[in-house]
Amino acid sequence: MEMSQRTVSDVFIISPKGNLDFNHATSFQEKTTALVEGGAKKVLIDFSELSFISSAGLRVLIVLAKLLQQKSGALALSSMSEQIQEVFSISGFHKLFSIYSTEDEALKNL
Amino acid sequence: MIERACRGYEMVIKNSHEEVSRAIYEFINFCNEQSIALSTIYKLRLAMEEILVNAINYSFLDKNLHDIHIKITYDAERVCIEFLDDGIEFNPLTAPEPKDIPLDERIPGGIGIYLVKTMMDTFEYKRSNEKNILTISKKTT
Repeated sequence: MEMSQRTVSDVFIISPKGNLDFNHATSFQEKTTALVEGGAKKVLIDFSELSFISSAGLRVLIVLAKLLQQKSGALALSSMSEQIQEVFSISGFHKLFSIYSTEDEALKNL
Repeated sequence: MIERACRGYEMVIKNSHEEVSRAIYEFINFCNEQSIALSTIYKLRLAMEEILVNAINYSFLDKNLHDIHIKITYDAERVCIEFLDDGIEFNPLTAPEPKDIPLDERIPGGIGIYLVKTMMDTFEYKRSNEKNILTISKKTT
């Protein structure tokens, strides 16, 4: 899937675009796993350009969170749309992740 | 009595990921043509993805191609989607609810059907003539 990547000090910011659905979850997982295996410890997923997430997308975020946990890293999520917030809330995933309204807020806490 | 125009369509897809993408693409186009609110389209689209992906991943024990029938009806107040397949019997209403499980104990999977059950207004399953028939609906007004 299309996604941009940048760093702010020691934080890797990933901005996926479009849909994190059953079609794109695998490529997202491959890219984020490669990033963590390559040494990234602090990862922020910026949701500002993501319009849709399904359970397939939630699952790859769990995989990423577990991988970072094993490596004593940290994961934060920011800038979710209302619809995506609702998916996190209904699924209970909002309790599993550190979620911030803005990227700045996430960076302060990572 | 108010008579309401009922619109909709039917399509048959095969049990493959490409076909699921085709079904979702057609469905989003239909919803946009009917000017259904984006927040409602989001939930219906999610439901369609979760149900179809679940069906193609778990319903068919052989490697043959199977048909999945999809019937959409819309009466300006409610969208109704019926899914029919000849896979093994699976009643999603009996699936366990995976909420509130700590990250360490989470097993990937299981959350999709829970999302659908919560987001739809109705969710019905029946097994008839060795077919799974799953029907969901959501108000649009």
